Amino acid sequence: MKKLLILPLLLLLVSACGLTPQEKVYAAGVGYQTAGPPFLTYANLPRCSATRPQPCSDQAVIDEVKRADNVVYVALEQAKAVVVDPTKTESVAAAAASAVEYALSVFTSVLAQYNIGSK
Amino acid sequence: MPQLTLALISGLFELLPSVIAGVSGAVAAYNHGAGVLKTAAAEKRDITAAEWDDWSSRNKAVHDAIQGA
Repeated sequence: MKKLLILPLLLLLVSACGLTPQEKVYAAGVGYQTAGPPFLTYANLPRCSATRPQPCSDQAVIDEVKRADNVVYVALEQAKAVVVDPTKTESVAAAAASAVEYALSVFTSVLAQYNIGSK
Repeated sequence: MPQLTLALISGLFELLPSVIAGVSGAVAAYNHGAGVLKTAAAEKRDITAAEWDDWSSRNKAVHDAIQGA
C-alpha cells in the first residue's frame, strides 16, 4: 500500500469538494511537497549495478522522475501566477487549477509505478 | 467555503497522523499546508501573499532537491 502517496491523492480528493481555484492550486503544491521527500529517500540509496544488491536506486527511474518533476514544478508556478492574478477570469483560474492537478497526478503516478513512497 | 468542505479538511488534517508513517519531511509539509488551508477557510479569506511566497519557497526546495538527486 502506497501510504505516503495517499497524501497528494487526499489533497486532490479534497480539491474536488468545492475548493476555489486558489485553494486547489495551493493544495496541489502541498501534494507536491509531500511527494518529494519519499523520492529523495529512494534517490539517496546507492545506485543499482550488477554487483549492488537491493535496496538500490535505478538511475533510469531517477531520470524519469526528474523529467516529471520539471513538468509539475513549472505547472505549479504557472498556475499560481494565474490564480493570484485578479484580472484573470474564474474560468481561466479553474483551468489553471485543473492543469496543475493533472500534472501532479502524473508525477505521483510515476512515483507509484516504481513503488517510491510505498511501505 | 462550505462547512462540509471545512469539516472535510479538518478531518483529513486530524486523520493524517494515523495514515502517514515515516518520512518526517512529507508529514511536516502536509501538516503545514493543510494548516494554512484550514486557517484561511476558518478566517474566510484568500491565501495571503506571504503564504504564497512560503509555498513557492517550499516547492522550489523540493524541486531543487529532486533535480540534484
